[in-house]
Amino acid sequence: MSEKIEALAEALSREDIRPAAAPKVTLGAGLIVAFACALALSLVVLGARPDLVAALMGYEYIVHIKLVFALGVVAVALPIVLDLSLPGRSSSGKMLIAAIPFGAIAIVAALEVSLLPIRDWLQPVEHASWFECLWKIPALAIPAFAVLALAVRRLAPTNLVRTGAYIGLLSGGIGTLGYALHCHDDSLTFVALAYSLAVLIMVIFGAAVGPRVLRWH
Amino acid sequence: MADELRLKGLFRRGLAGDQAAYQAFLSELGGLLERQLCRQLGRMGQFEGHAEDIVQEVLIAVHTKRHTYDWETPVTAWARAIARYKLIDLMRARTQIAADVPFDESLHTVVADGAAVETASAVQSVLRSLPEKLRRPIELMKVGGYSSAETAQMTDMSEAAVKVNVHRGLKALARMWR
Repeated sequence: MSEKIEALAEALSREDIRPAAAPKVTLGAGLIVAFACALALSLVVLGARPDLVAALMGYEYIVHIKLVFALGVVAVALPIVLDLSLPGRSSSGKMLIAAIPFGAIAIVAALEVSLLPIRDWLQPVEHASWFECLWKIPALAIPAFAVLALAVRRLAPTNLVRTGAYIGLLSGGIGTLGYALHCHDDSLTFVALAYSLAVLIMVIFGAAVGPRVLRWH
Repeated sequence: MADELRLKGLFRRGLAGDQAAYQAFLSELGGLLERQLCRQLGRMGQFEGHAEDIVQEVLIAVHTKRHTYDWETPVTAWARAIARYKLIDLMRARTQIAADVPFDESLHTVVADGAAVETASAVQSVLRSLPEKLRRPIELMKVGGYSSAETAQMTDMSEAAVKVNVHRGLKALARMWR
């Protein structure tokens, strides 16, 4: 038995052994703060859509679909981020489930398109709000990403690219939730394409930035 | 298998406040990791003598991140995942630091254990930024060449504390040099 290791074991055991906060508490607190940031930025800086209350109470359910999509992304990403923050846990099954919200909204959008005459099918692609959507969702998501990354860094992520990507997914969902309160565009096809793309941008951002931001020692 | 149950029990008791159990947990885990690491380093063509120092880094990480164990996965799997992360992290730190050392300066370069590269005078200026508790042992042991026992006497710390502080200091230096 190595003498150096024995001595280190002894020295470390003399420190305060009480562990830090439970991982779920840390991540949960981060999630709440991240949501608060995105909501505040959306309502205060961007401004809620003027007909928000009417849309929520109406029969068109577009806003509801947007919100459910966003919450769905958050719901599938959160357990994966937790798994990735604890060494030794595998999350391979859950990663497949992460595709569900995207698949679901794609199906719903396809249904909408099928009801339109063929010459109108390309209409969503020509929307002017592409650019707006693709920068506003990340604008709301990035502060959420920062908060969540700080929380995850207190845990022990071992694959920084993958963890960054899924924090990107999680914060993308949070940003989308905030944006849904502001977004005027109610074409489902457009929403399915643009929102999904915006979240994908956050995933790529997270994967790129993960190794720099999540490193712990 | 028996190792796993035993380690898990020691860890549980250690976290509940049993200092002796916690020490036994760390030292047995350290022995286990060292054996595995020697094999792995040998296969990678790396110098197995570094295994001991890497294991010390891993144990410090295990201690720091002890709240990330979820009791469902085997404790050895958890520790091995931390060890894998630390090994890659240390290797990267070592190659990055080696790349940053300016070769056009006429300084003597010495590759120490762990992840720190020292140059004769650059080390003085960076050391000055460390807190006294970490700087003294490093100056004495790494620059002055005293043994850990001699350093312990000169700094009025226990020998184990000297080793812990040298490691913390080297880690901090490695971070600064990135």
